[in-house]
Amino acid sequence: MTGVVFQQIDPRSSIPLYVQIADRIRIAVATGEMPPGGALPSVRHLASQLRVNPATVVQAYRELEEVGVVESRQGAGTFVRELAEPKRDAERQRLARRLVRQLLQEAAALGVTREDLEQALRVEMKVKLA
Amino acid sequence: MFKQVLKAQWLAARLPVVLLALLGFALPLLTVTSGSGLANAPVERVGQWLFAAQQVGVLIPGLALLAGLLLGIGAWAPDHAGKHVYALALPVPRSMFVLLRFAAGVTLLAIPVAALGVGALVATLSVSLPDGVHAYPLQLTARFAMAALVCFAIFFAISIATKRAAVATLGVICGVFLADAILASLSIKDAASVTSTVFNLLTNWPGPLSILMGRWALFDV
Amino acid sequence: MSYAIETFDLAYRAGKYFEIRDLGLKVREGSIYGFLGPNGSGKTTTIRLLLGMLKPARGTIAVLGRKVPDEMARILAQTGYVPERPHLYPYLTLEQAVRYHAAFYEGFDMAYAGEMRRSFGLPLDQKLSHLSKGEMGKLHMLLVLAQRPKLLVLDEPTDGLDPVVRRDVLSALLDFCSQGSATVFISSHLVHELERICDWVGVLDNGRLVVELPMQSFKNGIKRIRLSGAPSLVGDTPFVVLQRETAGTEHVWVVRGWQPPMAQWFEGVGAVVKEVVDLDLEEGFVELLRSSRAPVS
Repeated sequence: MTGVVFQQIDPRSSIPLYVQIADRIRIAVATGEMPPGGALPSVRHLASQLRVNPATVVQAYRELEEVGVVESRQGAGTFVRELAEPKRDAERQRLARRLVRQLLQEAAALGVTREDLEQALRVEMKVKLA
Repeated sequence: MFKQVLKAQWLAARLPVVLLALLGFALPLLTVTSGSGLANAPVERVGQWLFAAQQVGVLIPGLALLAGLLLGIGAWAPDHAGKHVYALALPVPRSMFVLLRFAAGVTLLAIPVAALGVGALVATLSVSLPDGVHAYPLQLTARFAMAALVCFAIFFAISIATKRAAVATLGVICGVFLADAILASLSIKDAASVTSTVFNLLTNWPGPLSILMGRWALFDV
Repeated sequence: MSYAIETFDLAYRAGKYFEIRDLGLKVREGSIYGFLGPNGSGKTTTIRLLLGMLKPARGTIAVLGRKVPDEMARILAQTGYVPERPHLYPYLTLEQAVRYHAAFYEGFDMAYAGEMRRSFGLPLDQKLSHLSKGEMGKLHMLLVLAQRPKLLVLDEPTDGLDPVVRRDVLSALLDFCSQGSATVFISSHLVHELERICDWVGVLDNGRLVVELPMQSFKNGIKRIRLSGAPSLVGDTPFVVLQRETAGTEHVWVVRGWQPPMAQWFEGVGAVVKEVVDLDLEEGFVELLRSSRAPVS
């Protein structure tokens, strides 16, 4: 299995590792990369792939379970919960807003104007589409 | 556990062991090279032959010393290379590990001993001895076994210590020899020679090296 | 709370200039404990003391609830140790080395060893003298993990290995950790490596334990704070000041034990907090060592 879940995390970031892992999985669920009912990688597998303490993965899964993104079934593992379509859309929009917020913050710090951003967005999207 | 220690020790020391076994097999055979037609030979010739055979026999305690040296030092060489870190982390008491190494060394020592025994038997069977002369293949083998064991135990004990301690021990021995040689060259007649005193103590019963002394004859009257 | 390793008032002297003193380690059962310290700080010596290879001048050591060195053989039966410079018998083949090692450990898991050997890509019939440094590193990790030990003591297990091998070795270690509740005591001067895997950190410098903390509080607690109008005299602070620098009107403090409400303290002394920057483990580690060597007055 590859994809966003197995992307390397950033241990130097001040965002705790378990939050980084939980975020990855929320993104994968929202984009449909991890379909509803699908199993999450085992703690053993993910910990060894990301080279993090297994307890960190357990903590991430527990966090996701608390907010209702995943459910753990006794002895079987952890699974993505069946989210209603609107709920998934909402989650995706939440992610999109977060990305834009980050972008705006960084742009402000670098002194990039709104016009520059809109221009860049048009160019990049054309490149992507073509 | 012993099986694995023995296997590892064998793999480390197989070359010397094979070499020692070959020598052990060959030495008794060397003593009988000129032994044809002895049965009816005149007494003088038998006497000469016995003397020649016993000259070769002197080499046998030398072989015992060599076997003890090679296997005794060889038992610890691989551990010395790693400063014993690996061996010390194994979950066996140190005394147990020493015992394992010793037992494996003794087992390996049995190979040249057996080879010498076979060589002595073959040598015995290949000559027809005149009246009054007897062959002692079993006694010779047993004596060789004891001598090799004593030498092995001594070198095993010396080399179990750190390299530095082993070198120091050998250094002290050499120093004593040197001091003795200097004293002798000054020809102080009355000064008792330390070396010869120690040598006498070691090589006369009950000294541990007494087993190497005396006659090592496969054939004797 | 039970401890896999617990030392009390440990002291050891080697030569004229090096000594370990007042060492009190507490390694919780089931934790992955990073033992950090610069080269020559006494990490290897401490490990040798823990494993009964050196005799302390003073103090007590308990490993897996047993006394060192009285019950050493029983401790070692449940301990996997990778020394700083692994030395296996070079004339053995890989298979022979595994069998030799296995003979000493009751619970040695041959199937698991085989599984790791395949995933590491180690050749069975190769003599150890012909293995590369990376292959030796993998082999040693394989040997100790297949013991299925309760405690792993790893002394710079990835030092000198290339990044690919290092990754494989750490993955195997974490795979083992997620199968059970083993305690891992791992020493390193490679701070980044420990940052993601450890949940506890102990920092050793010059033979003394500088701190021993959960990783989370170590990482979150050390901050660099940009201030204006900082007081030149520091009285009682709710945090520990590790470092202070002044450039013109701007002051930069490095503090330990920081929590956001503490910004009020600065207001109380007439300073303005302009920015609070997180330090990663390495920066925190460096600041900590600097202040432990030359305490801020």
